Amino acid sequence: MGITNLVRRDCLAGLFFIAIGAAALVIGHGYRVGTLLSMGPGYFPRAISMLLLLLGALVLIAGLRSSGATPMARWHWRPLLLILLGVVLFGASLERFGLVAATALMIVSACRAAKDRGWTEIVLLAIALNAIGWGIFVEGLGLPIPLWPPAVTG
Amino acid sequence: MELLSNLGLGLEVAMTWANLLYCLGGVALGTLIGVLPGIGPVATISMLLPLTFKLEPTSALIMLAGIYYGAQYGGSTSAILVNLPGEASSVVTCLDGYAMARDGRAGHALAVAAIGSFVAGCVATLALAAFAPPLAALAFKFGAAEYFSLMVLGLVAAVVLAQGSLVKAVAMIVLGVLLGLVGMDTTTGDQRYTFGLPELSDGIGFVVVGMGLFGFAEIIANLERVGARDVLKQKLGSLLPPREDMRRAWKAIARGTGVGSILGVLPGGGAVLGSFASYMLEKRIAADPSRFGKGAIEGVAGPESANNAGAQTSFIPMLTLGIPPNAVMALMVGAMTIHGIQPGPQVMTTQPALFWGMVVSMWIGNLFLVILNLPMIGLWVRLLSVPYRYLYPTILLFCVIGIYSLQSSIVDVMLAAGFGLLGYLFIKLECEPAPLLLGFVLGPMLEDNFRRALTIARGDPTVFVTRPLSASLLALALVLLLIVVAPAVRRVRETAFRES
Repeated sequence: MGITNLVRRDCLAGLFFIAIGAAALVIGHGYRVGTLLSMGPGYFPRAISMLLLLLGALVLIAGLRSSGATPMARWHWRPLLLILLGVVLFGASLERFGLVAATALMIVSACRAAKDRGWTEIVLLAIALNAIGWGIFVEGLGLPIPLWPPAVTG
Repeated sequence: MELLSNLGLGLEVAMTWANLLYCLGGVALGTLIGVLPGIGPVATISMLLPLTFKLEPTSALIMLAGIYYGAQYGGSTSAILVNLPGEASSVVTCLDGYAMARDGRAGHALAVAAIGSFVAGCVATLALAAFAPPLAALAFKFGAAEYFSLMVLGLVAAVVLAQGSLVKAVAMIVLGVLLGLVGMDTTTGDQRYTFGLPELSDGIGFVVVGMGLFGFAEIIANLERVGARDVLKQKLGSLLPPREDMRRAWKAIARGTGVGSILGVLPGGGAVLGSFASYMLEKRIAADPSRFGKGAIEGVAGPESANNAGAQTSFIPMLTLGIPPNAVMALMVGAMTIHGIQPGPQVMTTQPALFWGMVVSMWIGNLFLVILNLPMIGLWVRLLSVPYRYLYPTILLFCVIGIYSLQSSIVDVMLAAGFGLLGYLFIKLECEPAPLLLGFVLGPMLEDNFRRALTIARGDPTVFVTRPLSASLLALALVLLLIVVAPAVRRVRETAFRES
């Protein structure tokens, strides 16, 4: 045992559950608990948070006790960050700049997640996907999504 | 002959041109997305959900059900041709299906999978029609205490039958329940865990969770496996298997259908469990087990029938009790709620046209599957060779537009990105996300019934064990849990899942 053991996969999972359970208890400490007969909004959340804490502790202990436990697999930051950045960019720009710009921004970010492509391909893909998004969702399904920035369409 | 008149009503509903079209469309779209490796049914359904928003409820559910078994079947195609299962339920299909494909017998494997799925689908649809009414009648006798205990049993069973570490799976369920509590408390009106965001007061959308944990996380994980795909270069070969193979396959199909239908109804069951169990069964009773893994046709016929049967019968607990047995059904519950239908025993009596129309459309959908898959197999093969670099941006676009269109909420899109990160973390920590989704959907129902049971019993917590039905459900859950913790069973369970 030692601090190095904590980076094993199952120990990290246990610590994760403990952290969430603890956070839920702290955030929910002000919710009225009430009695069994008339339960307040805090009764069930508190019970569930404590259960999560307990289970997290069990996962952690099992992780510490098992011999030859596996370390966590390596994280690939590039696809992770660029894909999620694409989604966040889409969300941040959709209502401000419209679907066309939001799609383009997302595609550029998401395409950079795989290293092997040139800008021509990215631009073509952004155009093609804009056509799909417009054709299927706005024209075809009639979803109320702004295509262009509100300033342009008035 | 109530069954016949019910099926007649269903036939009337399902055979309208519009519903036939939605069924065909659902099956085709489901197959299309399901064939693409690395996209499971949960991601497929949440991605295509917006397509059904404008439809009337019956057509929407017919289409969604079609998407589900289309995706299911598409997963088998990629398992056989590329050795990459689209989802957990076709993992075992890879073993012998891909071996057959390398042998130049891909056509045989695909044909047997299609025929097996069709037979299984027919039988399972009949089972659904026969067993749903009595089960719904039983459900009407349930009070809040029984519902609570039933859900506990369902969640326990889901864990026991899931893969991987038991404690982790329980923790994931509990985490899901906790996430399900976010939003306004329906009884007191208090805000919980909303961080002052008005968008959260209705709770986190199930599509947001599903899309983030399954859709985004799957894309990211696929991107790190570079060059893992190896599309079959050989010819498909003829479709019709030789007589000797057919003889073997028929029996496996019959057994797979039986195993799959029964296991599908169990909480936590569905398609995955059936296919594993069927593969083990075929291998055990085979005269020469060494053929397995080298292209034994029973290894394709059995599991493929079982997973389709299970996919179908897992609708039974969802439609009759309102309790989803697995993550896909949890999504269906959410989809029904969007269309203003509360799943439960009352659906059958208040909306018989919807219920029976859906049941019959499943049979029709299975027919469409065969028609779509056998003659058009060349098209799906071509689709498999579209590089992932073009696919994933397209999938991503469908996902984000789908999330936004749910309630025109930017917060939902951002939240989904957060759940994508969480999903990636779960992959790295080897925590199955499916139990979380189940807990997430059941969480609010769990709390509601817990509260109501105690209020009715004037705060007496023994209500759960003094009412006989509730007590037996809880006892069953306890026994199930004890059995799995027992060392002997644990070993069997571990080897069972390691079979692949």
